[in-house]
Amino acid sequence: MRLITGPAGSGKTTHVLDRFREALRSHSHAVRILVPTGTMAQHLQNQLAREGFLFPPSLIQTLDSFLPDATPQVTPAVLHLVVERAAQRVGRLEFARVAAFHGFCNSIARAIQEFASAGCDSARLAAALPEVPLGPAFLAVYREVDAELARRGLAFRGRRLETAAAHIAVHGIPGATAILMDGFHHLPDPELGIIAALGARTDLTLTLGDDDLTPPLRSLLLSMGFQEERLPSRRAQAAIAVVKAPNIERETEEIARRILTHAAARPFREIGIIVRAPEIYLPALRATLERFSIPARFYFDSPLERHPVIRFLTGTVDAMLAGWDHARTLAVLRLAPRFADFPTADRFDFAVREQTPNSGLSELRAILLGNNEQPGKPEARLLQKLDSIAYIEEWREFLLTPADWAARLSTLRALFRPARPSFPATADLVLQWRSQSAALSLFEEALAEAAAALASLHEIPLDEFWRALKSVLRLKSLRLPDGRRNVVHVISAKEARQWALPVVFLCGMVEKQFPRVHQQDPFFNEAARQRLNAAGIRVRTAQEFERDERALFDTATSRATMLTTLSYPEFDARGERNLQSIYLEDLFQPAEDSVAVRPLPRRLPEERAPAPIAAPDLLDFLTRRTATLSPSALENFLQCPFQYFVQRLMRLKTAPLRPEERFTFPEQGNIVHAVVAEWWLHPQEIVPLFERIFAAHLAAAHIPNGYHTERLRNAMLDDLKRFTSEDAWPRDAFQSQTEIPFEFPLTADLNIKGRIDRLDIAPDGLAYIIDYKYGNMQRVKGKVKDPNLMQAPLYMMAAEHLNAKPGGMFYLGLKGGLEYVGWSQSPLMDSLALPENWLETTRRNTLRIVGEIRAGRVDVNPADTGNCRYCDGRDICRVETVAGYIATAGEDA
Amino acid sequence: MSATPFTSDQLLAIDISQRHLDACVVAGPGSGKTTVLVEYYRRLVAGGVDPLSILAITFTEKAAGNMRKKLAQAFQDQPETRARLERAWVSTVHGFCARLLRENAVFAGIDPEFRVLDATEAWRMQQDAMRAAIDALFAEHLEAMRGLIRGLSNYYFEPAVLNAYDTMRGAGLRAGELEDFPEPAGTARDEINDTLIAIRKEDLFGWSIAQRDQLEGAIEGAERVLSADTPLAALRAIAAFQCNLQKVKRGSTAANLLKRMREQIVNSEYQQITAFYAPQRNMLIAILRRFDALYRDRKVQGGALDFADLEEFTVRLLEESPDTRARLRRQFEHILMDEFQDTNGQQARLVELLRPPDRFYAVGDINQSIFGFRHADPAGFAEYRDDVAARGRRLVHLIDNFRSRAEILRAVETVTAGAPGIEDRSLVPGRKFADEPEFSVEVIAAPTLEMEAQWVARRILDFGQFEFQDFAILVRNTEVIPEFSAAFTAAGIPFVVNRGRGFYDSREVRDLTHLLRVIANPRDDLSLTTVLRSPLVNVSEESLLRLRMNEYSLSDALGRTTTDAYGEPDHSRLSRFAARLREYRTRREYVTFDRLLLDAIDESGYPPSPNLDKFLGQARDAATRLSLDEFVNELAILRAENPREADAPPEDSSNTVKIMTVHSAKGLEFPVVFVAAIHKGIDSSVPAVAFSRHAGLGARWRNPVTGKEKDDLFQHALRQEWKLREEQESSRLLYVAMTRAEHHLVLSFSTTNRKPENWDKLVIERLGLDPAQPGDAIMPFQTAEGLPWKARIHVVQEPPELVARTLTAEEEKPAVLFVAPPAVAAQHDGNATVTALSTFAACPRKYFLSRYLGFDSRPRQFGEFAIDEDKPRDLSAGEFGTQVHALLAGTAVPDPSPDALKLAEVFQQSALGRRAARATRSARESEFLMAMDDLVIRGQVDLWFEEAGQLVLVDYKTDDVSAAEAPHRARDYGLQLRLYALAVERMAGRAPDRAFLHFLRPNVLVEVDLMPNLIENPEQIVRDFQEAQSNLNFPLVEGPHCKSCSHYHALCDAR
Ligand code: SF4
Repeated sequence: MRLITGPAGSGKTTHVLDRFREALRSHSHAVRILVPTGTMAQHLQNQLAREGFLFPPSLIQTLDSFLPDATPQVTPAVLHLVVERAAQRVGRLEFARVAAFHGFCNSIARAIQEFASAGCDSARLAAALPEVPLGPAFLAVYREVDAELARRGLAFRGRRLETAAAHIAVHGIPGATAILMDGFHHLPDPELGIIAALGARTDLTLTLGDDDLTPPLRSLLLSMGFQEERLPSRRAQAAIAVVKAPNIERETEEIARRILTHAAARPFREIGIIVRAPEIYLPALRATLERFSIPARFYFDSPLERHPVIRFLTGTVDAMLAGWDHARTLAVLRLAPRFADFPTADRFDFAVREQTPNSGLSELRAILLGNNEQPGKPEARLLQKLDSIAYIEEWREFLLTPADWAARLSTLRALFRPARPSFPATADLVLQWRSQSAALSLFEEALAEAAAALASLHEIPLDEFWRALKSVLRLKSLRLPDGRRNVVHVISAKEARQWALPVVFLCGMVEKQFPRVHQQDPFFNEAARQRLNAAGIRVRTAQEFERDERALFDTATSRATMLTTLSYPEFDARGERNLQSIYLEDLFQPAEDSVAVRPLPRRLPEERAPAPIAAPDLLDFLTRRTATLSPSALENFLQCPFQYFVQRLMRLKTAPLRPEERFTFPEQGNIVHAVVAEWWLHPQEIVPLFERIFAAHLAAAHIPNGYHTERLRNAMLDDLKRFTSEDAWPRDAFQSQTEIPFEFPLTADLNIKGRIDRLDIAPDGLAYIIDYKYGNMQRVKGKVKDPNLMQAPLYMMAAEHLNAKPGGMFYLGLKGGLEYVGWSQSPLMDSLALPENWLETTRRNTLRIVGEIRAGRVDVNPADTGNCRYCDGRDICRVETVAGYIATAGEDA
Repeated sequence: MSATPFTSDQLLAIDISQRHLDACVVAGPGSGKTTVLVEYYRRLVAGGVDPLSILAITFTEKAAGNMRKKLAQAFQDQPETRARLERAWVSTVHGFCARLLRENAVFAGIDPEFRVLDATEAWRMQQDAMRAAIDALFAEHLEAMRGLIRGLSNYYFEPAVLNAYDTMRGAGLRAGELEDFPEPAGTARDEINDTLIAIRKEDLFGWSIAQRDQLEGAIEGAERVLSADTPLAALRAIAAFQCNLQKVKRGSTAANLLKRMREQIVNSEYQQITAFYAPQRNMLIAILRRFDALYRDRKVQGGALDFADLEEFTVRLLEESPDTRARLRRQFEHILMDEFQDTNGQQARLVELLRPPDRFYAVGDINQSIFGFRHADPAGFAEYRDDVAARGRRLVHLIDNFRSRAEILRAVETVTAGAPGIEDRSLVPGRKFADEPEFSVEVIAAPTLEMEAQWVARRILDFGQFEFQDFAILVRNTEVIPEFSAAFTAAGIPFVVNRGRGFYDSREVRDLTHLLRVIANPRDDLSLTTVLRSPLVNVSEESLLRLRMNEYSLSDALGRTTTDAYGEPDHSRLSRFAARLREYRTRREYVTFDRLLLDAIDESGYPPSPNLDKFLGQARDAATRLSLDEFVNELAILRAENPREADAPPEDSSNTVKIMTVHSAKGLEFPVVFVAAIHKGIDSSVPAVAFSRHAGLGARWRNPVTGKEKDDLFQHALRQEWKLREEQESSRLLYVAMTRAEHHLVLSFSTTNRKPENWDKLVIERLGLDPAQPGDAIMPFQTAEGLPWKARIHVVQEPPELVARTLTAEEEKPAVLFVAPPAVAAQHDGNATVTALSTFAACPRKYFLSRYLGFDSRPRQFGEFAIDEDKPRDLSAGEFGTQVHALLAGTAVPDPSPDALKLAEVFQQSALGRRAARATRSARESEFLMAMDDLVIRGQVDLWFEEAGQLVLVDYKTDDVSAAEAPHRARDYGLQLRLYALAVERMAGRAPDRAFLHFLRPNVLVEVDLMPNLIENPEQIVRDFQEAQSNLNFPLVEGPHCKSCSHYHALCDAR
C-alpha cells in the first residue's frame, strides 16, 4: 500500500497516470484508477484517449460506480420526506414549533447525512451522544429515520460503502490487481473501510495532498500499513494579479476583458473562472460572458423548482387547485411556448387582465371568445388548449396510491410542448431547449421519488401527493449537459481541485464570500462536535471548516500554470462598501483598477431632439386628423406640442390597470358629472341617485368593491352632498339644459367639438355655461389666470352656435369644496368681467395652434413643467422630473 | 496600534484591568472612539480573553467590517488568534441576531434556513398584507370600517398605520398589547362642574346686563356640555359653547374662572372625540392586529424574517428560554457596544437580557443621536450612563477632538450650546494644524436658494488649496439639491449626489422598465413608444406616427416596415428591433432579465451609468424569484408608490464634490464642509395615526359636528412627545453636521422673505446676525464660556459674477473601452458515442433533437391516460435490448423475459453463432474509448471473434423490422460497424475481415462493407459532426424513415 503525498501541483496525478499508461502499454487491463467525481474520471479518460490509447472506460471510474451494487442509496429528496414524516411521528416537544418548516427538515436531514457519511448510524450516535439540549430529540428522529430506511431497503452512502468493503474483503476485485486512488480529499470512516479492504486484496496506491493530510489522518493511514512516498517538487508558481472593480457588474466585465486579451493567444479552453459564491456570481457571469460573446461552460446546478417547465407543470395543477384563478392561470399558460402565437396570446393576456380578479375556466373561455360567436383560428387553438387542461379538474376528487398518482401526473408533461427549434441556432438557445428536455425528465424522476417516499401509504388525495412532490422538486437540481470543449470553464472552488489551466480567474474575493463564514449547526454545537470527534465520530468542526476554506483558496490559487487573477467588487448590490477578503491581505499584492469596458455596440448611440413632421403624406394625415378638434385638445397642444403628439395623435393605450388602480380620476369625474347632470334636471335624494350611478360605473369598469373604493365613494358623496345642499347658484332664475353636445365650424376646414355640462338661460336670454371640474381645486382656481385657456371662450362661441346669447362661463370645482370661478357680464358669483375681444383673440389663437399642428410641430416644450407629472407622455418625451433630475445630476444635469 | 499616543482619558477607556466593571465611554465627535473601541478589544484578546467570548456590536455593517479588519491586522502574526477572530462576534445588532437565531433556530421556533428580507422586500410584503387585512375587515365589518374611513382625518391612513407598526415593534411591543394602553387623563367632567359651581357662587357686583348675559350664556353652554348624555351630544354642546371673555367684566374672579372653564371645555373635546370614536379606534387596532397576523404568516410561508423580527425573536428566545439565555450569558464574557445612543427600545432590551453583570462596555454620545426616525431612543444611553456613574463604575468622557480646527469647535459650541437636546460638553481641540488661516468659519446668507447655491459654487472655486473631493455639501432636505446641482453644473464643478432617492424615476431605469414591459406584452403602446423613441431604438417622430397611421396595432406594425415608407435608418432599426424583440420573448423565462436588457443596450450603445448597473443587478436578482410578468408588476408598484429607492452609489474614485444628507454623513469627515440651505426644515408633522411607547396608538379624527380635525387623547399625548423629540433631534443634527468639518466650515441659507424658523433661526440668534443688511466682514464671536473666535459673515443681495471652469475631457465623458467580439470556433463536444455518431450519419436533425437536445421518447398522450392495475408493465425497447445483449454476453439476467431468451437463442443457433462458439479468440460486449481528431468516442462492440483465420465483427439488433426492411435499415448502421472495426483493429491487433449485422427478430444476417466510399468513411463523418455542432446547424434528411421517428410532426419540420 503506497501513499503518495505532496503539495498541490506536485504531480500526484501525473504519477498515477504514468503507472496507468505503463499498464496499458503492456496490454494489461488489471489496473483501475478510482477518483471521487465523474468530471475527473472523464478528464482522465479523455486525456489518455487523446494520447492515443484505446481502453475500456471502466478502467477509470468514480469510487461509487466502481463498488459492487448493494442496497439502493437513499436520495436527498427521499431522505427529506422520510425525515419530515419521522419528525412528525416522533413528536418530540423540542421540535413541535419547527417540525413543519422545510428548512428544519433540511437541517436535520443534513445533520443525519453528515453522521451517516462519518459512518455513525443512530445506534453508534446513541452510544456516544454528547450532552446538548437537542441531542435526545435529534437521536429519536435519527432512529426513526434509520428504521424507516431499513424497512424500505434503502441505505445511506456510508452504509453502502461499509457493505461494499465487507464484500471486497471476502471476494476481492475480480480482474483487478492494482488500484490507483487519486483526487480524494476527505476520507471519512466508510471510505477508510473501503481503502483497507482494497489494500488487503489489491496493490493499492493512494494519493493525498498536504492540505488534506492532517497529522491524525497520516498516522491512521500509516498504521493501516501505507508506505509514504513524498513528491517534493512543485510546479513553478504562476504569476498573481489582484483587481478591484466598483461593483460585481464591473468586476465580471473586467474578467471578460482580460479573457478576451488572453483569447487572442490561446484557446478558450485554457481559461477558467473559479467561483466561490455561485449564488451571487453565476447570473452575472453568465450575462457578461454572453454579452462579450465568450463561449463558456458552467459546471453548476440550478434549482429545478424555478425552471419554467416545472413552473408550468406545477403551476397548472396549482391553478386548478385555486379554482383556475385567472391571474394564476394566465401566468402559467404564458410559460408554455406553444400556448398560442404571440399576438393572440398578447391580446388574451390584456383581455384577461382587464377583468381580474376573476376565476374559472369557462369564464376564461368567455373572455377569449368575447363577442365573437365564431372564434378565429388562433383563438380556436387556444380554446382547445383550455379544454385540454380542463381535464385535470376531476383529479381533485380522486383517491389513488402514490404510484398511481405518479403515473397519472406524468401525463402532465404532454401539456408542455417545446417550440420547434429554428436554425441556425445559438448556443444559448440550445441550452434552453436542452434544459427543457432535462427538466421534463427530472419531473418524472421527481414523481418516482415522491411515490417511493410515500410508498407505505395507501390511497391518498391529490393534495397530499402534491405536497410531497413539491418538496421533492424543491430539493432537486438541474445540471445542464454541455459537452463543448473549447470554452471558458466556470467552476466551483471544489471542482477546481481537479483542474489545471494556464489562465485562472478567481472572483468575489470579499469578506464572507471567501472565506465563507462558518455556521454552527443548530443541533450539535462546536463543543459537542469536539466531543464527538474525541469519541471517534469524525464530524466536522469549525476549525476543520476554516482549514478547508483555506485549502480551497490555496488550491484555487495554484490551479493556474501561468496567471491567476483574483478580483473583488468594492461595493455590494445595495451600494454598501465591501471588505476585501482576508486572504487577499496575505498576498501583499496591490490591487489594480478595473477598466470600464463594453462590447462594441452594434449601432452608434446618438441623441436627437424631436424633429417636426415633414413628410407630405403625414402632413396630409395631420390635416385630416385635425379637421375637428376639441378645446381640450388645443389646450393640450398649448401645454406642450409633444404632449399633443402623444395623447392626441399617437393615442397610446397602456397595459390594463391593476384592480386597485382602476378607479382613476377620470372615472371619478365621470361619476360626479353623471350624478350632477341627472340631479340638476331632477332634484332628488342624492344618496340613492349616487349609489345607483356609482354601482353602474363600478361594474362597467370592473372596479372591485373594497375599502379603497369605499373611501373614494365617501369623498365623492361628501362632495356631492355639499353641492346639493350648499350650492349658492340662483338656479330658480334660470332654465337649464345639461350635457349638450356641440360641433361648429370655426373656418371652412376646422370644426370645434365638445360637450357643455350645463347651460343656464336667464329670462333676459343670456346664457351661462357651467363646466364641472372634479379635480384639484387649486387648478380649478388657477383657470382664471391661465394664459392658455381655450375651453371657456370656445364654449362661449359654442353657445352662440347653439343659438344662445352667451352671458358668461363658470368652472365649478366640486372636489373637497365648492368653488365657482368664471367670467360674466353680471357680477354673478364674484365673477370677473369678460375679457376684451375674448372670442376674437381665441379664434386667432385657435387658428395659429391648428396651423402649427398641421405644420408638424412636435417639440418637447412644456408650458408648465409642474404638469409634466400628470402627462402620459412623460417617459416618452424624456423630460426629467425633479426626482429624476436629482438622480442623474452627477452625470448630465 | 494608533500612531499617536493615547490621551489620559483614552488610556482610562482602554484599560483592561477594569474589565470586570461596567463601563460607559461618552465620546464626542472626532474623539477617536473607533480607535478606542478596537484597542480595547485588542487588549482584551492580547490579555487572554477568547475572541469568541466577546460580543462587539456596531451601528453599521461598514463599522463592523472595519473593526474586524483592524483586529485581523493587529493579530496578523498570530494565525491561531486570527483564525478565531474570523468567527468572532463582531457585527451589527441585526447581524448578531441573525447568527444567534440561526444557531438557535429550534429554540426560537423559527425556520433555521430563514432569509432576511431587505427593506424594499419587507415594504412590499407589508403593503400586500395591509391591503389584504383591510379588505378582509372591510368585507367582515362593513359598517364599522365605513365608520373608520369616515372618521379618520385622512382617508389614506395605511402609510401612517405601517409607520406606527414599525415604531411599535422598534419599541418591543406586539400588536396584541395595543389595547392595554390606558387612556391618558383628559379633562374630567367634575372639573368643569367644579368651576361652574365656583362661577355660580361669584358675586356679580358691578357687571353690566350685557356682561351678565354673556356669562349666563356661557353657563348655559357649560350646562349643556355637562348634561350631554352621549359623546355626540357633548361634542355638539362643545361646538355650540360660546364665551367671549372680552365681553365680561375683566379682572374679576368670575372672569378668571370663566377663562378656566372655557379652557376646560375646549380641552374636553379630546376626551369626547376619544369616546365618540372608541369603536373606530378599536377597528384601527383590529386592522393592525389582522395585518400583523397576515404579515407574520406571509413571512412564515416564505421562510423570511424582517429586521424587526430579528430583534423580536432574539429577545423572545432570551426571555422564554432561560437555559439558552444562561448559556449565552456564559458564552459572552464581554459585551462591547458602539453608538449606544442609537439603539431602540427593543435592542436595549436585548442587550439587557444578554449582558452578564458588570461586563458591559458602551460607547456613545447623546449629542450625536440622530436616528429617532428609525425609532432610536437615546434615553437608554442616558440611563445607563447615569447608572454607571451612580454605581461608581468606569465612566470616561472623551472630549478631545482630533478632527476640527479650534474655531470650528467654538462655532459649534456657540451655535448649539443650550439648544434642546444638546448636552453641554466642551469640545477640546486636540489636532495640530500647520497653518492658521484668518478665519475658518463663515456664514453665507442670500435672498434666494438659487443665489445661495451660486454663491456656494463660487466659494468652492475660490478656495485655492483644496481638491474637489475635499468638499462636502451637507443638506437636511434633499429637495434643495436641484438648485445646487444646477449651480455646480453652471460653474463647471464636478459633483456627485451621494445616494439621491429617485432611482425608479431616473431616465435609464424608466427606459429599461418600459423595455421589460414591452417584452412582457408589446401591446402596451405607451411602453413600446417609449422604447422606440429612447436611445434603445431611437426612431423619429415621423416613423412613430407612421406606425400608428395604419390598421395594425403598433406592435403588429413594427414587423411590417419598409425602406420606402420609413426610410433609413428607421426601417432597419425598427425591423431589427422587431426581430430582437421576438428573440427576447422566447428567451424571457430562461435567462435572467438583465441579459435581455444587456442585449438591447449593446445593440444601441445605450450610455452606461451607475443606476443602469444597479437596475441590471435588480433585474438579474428578480429573475431568481419572479416571472417577467411579476417583475414588471412589481416595478409598476414600486414606481407608483415611490418608496424613494436610493440611487446607485457614484463611483467615488473621481475628484468630485459630494452632495449628501447630514444623516448619510454621520461618521464621516471632510476638509471643507458646507452645511447648506439651513433654512430648509423637513416635514415633521404627526401623521393621522401614530404610536408612541408611552401613549400607545393615537389618531386624529374628524369632529362629527364641526368637520374639523381633532386628536384623540392618545394622539394628543403623543403629539407633545413627538414635538419635543423633533426639536431635540433637529439641534443634534446640526451639531453632527457642523462637526464633520476639519479645516473649514461654511453655513449657508437663504432668507426667501420669510421668518427664520429652522437652523437659520438658531444661527441668526446666536451670532446676532442681520440677514437684511448686506455686507462681507470678519466678525468676532465668543462661546458661552467666553472663548473668542472669528467668522466671515457674508450677506449677499446679488448673484456672484459667473466664473466657470471648463470640465476636463475625463469629467465630460468617462472613458469606456469598447471591445470587438472574439472569433469563436471549434464549439463541438469533446465526447461522443458511436450510437450518436451513427444517428447523426442517418439524419443530423434527428441526432440534434434526440441526442444533442435530449428530447427522446414520445410522451404518453395527455388525456389518453388509463390505469390498468393488473397488467404487468412492458419492457421498453431499450430494456429489452439490454437483456438480449446481456444474455448473449453470458451475464446473469435475473428474471429474463421469454422473448429475450428466444432472441438470444436465435443467434446462438445461427451459423454465425456456431462459428463464434468455435472461435479461437473472441470478446463480447467490449467497451472502448478511442480518439479521432480530438473527439473521444465511446462504444461497445457486441462481439468479435477469430475463427478459421478470419476476424469477424458482429452486432446484434433487436429492432422491430421485417426481413424485407432489414437490408435497408442496415445502411443506417454502416458507420457504427466501421467505427467498431477501427476499435477492434486496435484491440485485436489486426483489422476485421468481415462485419455482420444480425437482425434477430426476422433472423436476417446482413454483411456490412468495411471499405466504404469517401463520404461514408468515419473520419469524414466525424468532421461533419464537429462542424454541425460548431455551427449549430443540423439539416434534416427526409425520407420514409421519418414515419417511424418520434419527432415526426412534432419537433421536426419534415413534411
Ligand atoms: S422526422 Fe425525419 S427529418 Fe425529422 S428528425 Fe426524424 S428523421 Fe429527421
